[in-house]
Amino acid sequence: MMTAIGLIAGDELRYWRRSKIAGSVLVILLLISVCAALVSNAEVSRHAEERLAQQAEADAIFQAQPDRHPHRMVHYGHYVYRSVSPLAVIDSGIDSMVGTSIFLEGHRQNTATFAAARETGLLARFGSFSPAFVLQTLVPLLLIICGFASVSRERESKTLFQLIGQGVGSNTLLLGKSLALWMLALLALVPPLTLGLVSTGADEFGFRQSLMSMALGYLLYLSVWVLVIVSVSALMRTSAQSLSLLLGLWVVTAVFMPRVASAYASAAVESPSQIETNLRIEEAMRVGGDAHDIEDEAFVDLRTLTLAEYDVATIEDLPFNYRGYVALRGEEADTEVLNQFAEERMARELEQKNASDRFSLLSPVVAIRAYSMALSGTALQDHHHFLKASEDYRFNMVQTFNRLQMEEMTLAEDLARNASDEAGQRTRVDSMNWQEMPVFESAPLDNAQRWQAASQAGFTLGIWFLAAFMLMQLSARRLHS
Amino acid sequence: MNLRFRIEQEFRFLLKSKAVLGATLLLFAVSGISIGLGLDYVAQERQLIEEFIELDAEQRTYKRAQAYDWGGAAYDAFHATWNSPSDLAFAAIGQRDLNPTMMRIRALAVEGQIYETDSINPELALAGRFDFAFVIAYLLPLIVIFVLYDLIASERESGRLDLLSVTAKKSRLIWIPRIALRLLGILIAVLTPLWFGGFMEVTALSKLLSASLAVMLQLAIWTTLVLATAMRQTLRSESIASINVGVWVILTLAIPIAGKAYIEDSVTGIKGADVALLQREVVNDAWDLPKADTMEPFYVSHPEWSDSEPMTDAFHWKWYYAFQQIGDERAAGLARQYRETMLTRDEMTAAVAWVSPAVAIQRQLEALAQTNLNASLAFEDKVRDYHEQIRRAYYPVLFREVPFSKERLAQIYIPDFSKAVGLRSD
Repeated sequence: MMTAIGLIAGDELRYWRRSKIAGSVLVILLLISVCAALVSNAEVSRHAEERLAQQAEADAIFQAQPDRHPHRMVHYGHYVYRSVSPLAVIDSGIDSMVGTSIFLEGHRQNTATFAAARETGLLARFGSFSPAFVLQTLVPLLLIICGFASVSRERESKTLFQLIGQGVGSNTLLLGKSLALWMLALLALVPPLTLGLVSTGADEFGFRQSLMSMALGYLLYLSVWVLVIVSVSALMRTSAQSLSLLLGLWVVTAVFMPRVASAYASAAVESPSQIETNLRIEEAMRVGGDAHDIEDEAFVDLRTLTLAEYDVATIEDLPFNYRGYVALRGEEADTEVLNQFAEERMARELEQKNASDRFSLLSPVVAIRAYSMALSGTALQDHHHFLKASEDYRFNMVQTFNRLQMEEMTLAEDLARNASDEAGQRTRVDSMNWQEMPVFESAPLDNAQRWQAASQAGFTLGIWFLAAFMLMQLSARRLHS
Repeated sequence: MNLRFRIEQEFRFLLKSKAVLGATLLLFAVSGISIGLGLDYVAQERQLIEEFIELDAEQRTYKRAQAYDWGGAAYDAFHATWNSPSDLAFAAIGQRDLNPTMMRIRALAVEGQIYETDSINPELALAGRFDFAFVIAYLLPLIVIFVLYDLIASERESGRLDLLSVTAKKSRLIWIPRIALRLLGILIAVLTPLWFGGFMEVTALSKLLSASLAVMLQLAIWTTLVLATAMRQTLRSESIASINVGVWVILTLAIPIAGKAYIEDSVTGIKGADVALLQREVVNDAWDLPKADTMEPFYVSHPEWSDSEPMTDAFHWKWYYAFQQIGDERAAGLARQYRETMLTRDEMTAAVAWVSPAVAIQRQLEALAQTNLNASLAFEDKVRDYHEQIRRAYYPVLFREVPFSKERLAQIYIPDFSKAVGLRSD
């Protein structure tokens, strides 16, 4: 049987060589996938370099700040830039949709601003010329053009029954046709896989493992298309019918379903605007008081407790600058409120993503999109991971400044800082402290975490494969009778 | 008489050809859904804006009650600005979700405030919006291909072509009613939902007409393209379908994506982050510079306050607001360049539109719906204008050193955004 499958596949390949269509499809396929790999590689490495340069510049400016009152540094803040995942060369995912930098300062969590999509305009929504787009959208189309007539052609030229009459089982026939198409799919995987291997050269974070899982996922995904194409070709009476059905399937699953899923998700899980959230945060933070003002009623309890703890009568007698202490505790309270809102938002975004991912049961394209992004390290989870890392960095930075304010000056000096220039000088802290601040480094999610984010979509792809295989069994039986 | 008979005959034929009818109904359903989603989106947005305005006013009242000096009062007084969706926004939501639609502005440096965007769910945004413009740009051409590609080929392949050619006096005449009827079906399928949306939103008639015209143009372009191959007697129907889908892939997917890659590569220009960074540097450096370094340039651009009393304290609010303004003035050049970078990209997109009907129709509809870059920049201009009014409202008390009182604070009148910049009320 294996040899029979091989013979049928070889026959199909010979037919392609004779007909012009398959030849041009092959050329287009190779051209597109090699181009996409090269373009994407150039684009992603440019972005990566840009961000590294911008981060280095921001770090340099930050470290070059002169001696200052620490609270000035709290408001001066710092910029951090999102680094680019090495597998973004295959699937850039949400990279262009989210801001590239965040401004970190005290008392606030800013959103990531300056998303590339806004700066590009209308065309951003047409997708990007990445290997992922080629594999997810264009390769299935090319497979359709090569395979829609694979069985129906034999039927139309009356060779089908000859074949079956010669004792070639209908199952063998369909498997053979699939094998030929499948080799084409395999070919399409070579350029992105090579690119991925090169890009994950110095592999610190297990990206190579993710790349392998990703390749398997794409193989499964393209196999679904191969099996469906051959089955439809066997089930339809004419090649024309087979082609229109397959093209219809392609349009619905590849072009429409992702948008329908997204529209459904945003309608199903409503989200308040960021600005409304900000207003609610402000309202919630009112309770915590204004940490710039030590007389704020919100800090009465804190004062009593602190005085009792250190067994002193007035805040002037405390062994540290009480203003700095209030700033420290105030930031703690503010951050708790901010984090609570941030977590709510992230949970809602994940809920929306899950709602949208549910459409992967209706379209394998939705499944492979989610799977591929998650393994590339360019999915929603990765963005949330960056947001959390930058928030940790922000909090530590601000609290370092607040501790400096606590320890490097007395309360009297701090209160008198605006009295004269000399008094101002006394509350300035050595700029060495800014240079000693560790720079922002965010490790990506590790392979296990990426896999966890991708597993459900991967499982759905498996279901799709089984369903497509069963469809082929069904069409083989129909063909037989 | 003959023509009427032909049309009736074709109409019966159309009702019998289930595939064509099915495709037309599908198009009707999909455009209906897209309009429904669009109406829902703008309604939700309007509600968010309304809530925002209310919350913002509450917050301002609260902060005003807490104020004890002019600088602090101005520092805490945010003012709501918003960009309401237009009466056609439901049909082309366009870039609205990526561009800011609501902002809170205060008397500090505007460059530090104007680039805040709403945080959207990036994974949902990535898929693109399912709006009417998308249906017209993507689905409409495919339906045109589907109902026209085997117009002649199917008759020939079923052996009726010769018969048909014999019965009609002019061979052209057979096809015209058939094509016209199918196109009419498509037009009704897309325009009925659009006009229903227009009715619900009380859209200006001229806009609805222009949008309908744009849709018809798109239909005409694709009809011409499809007929160029479908009318060829020598092509098999599969070849016609493959060629047309190929053309569709090139025009709606390949060209826009290639155009995008080219534009991003060739117009690197100023990044928004650069503007924000420069503004922040200028504002922060001012703290460590002698006050004269701030006040001298400030009095040059604001001579009306140059006779304000000299400052003696280490900190003074009028100095603080002056260096905010200087930060804006220094960053103005870069901000303009940033804007020009975006406009250049937009101009190049217009060039792409000449070779891609999908891009052209989306641009056209987004322009009519005021959801494009120009509309977003126009909003930004209004916000800048409003910011100017806000900061100038506080200057008299700051620079004339008027003693602080709640009564005087109540007299600082800043009209609400819609009145201040003359928005139409809706």
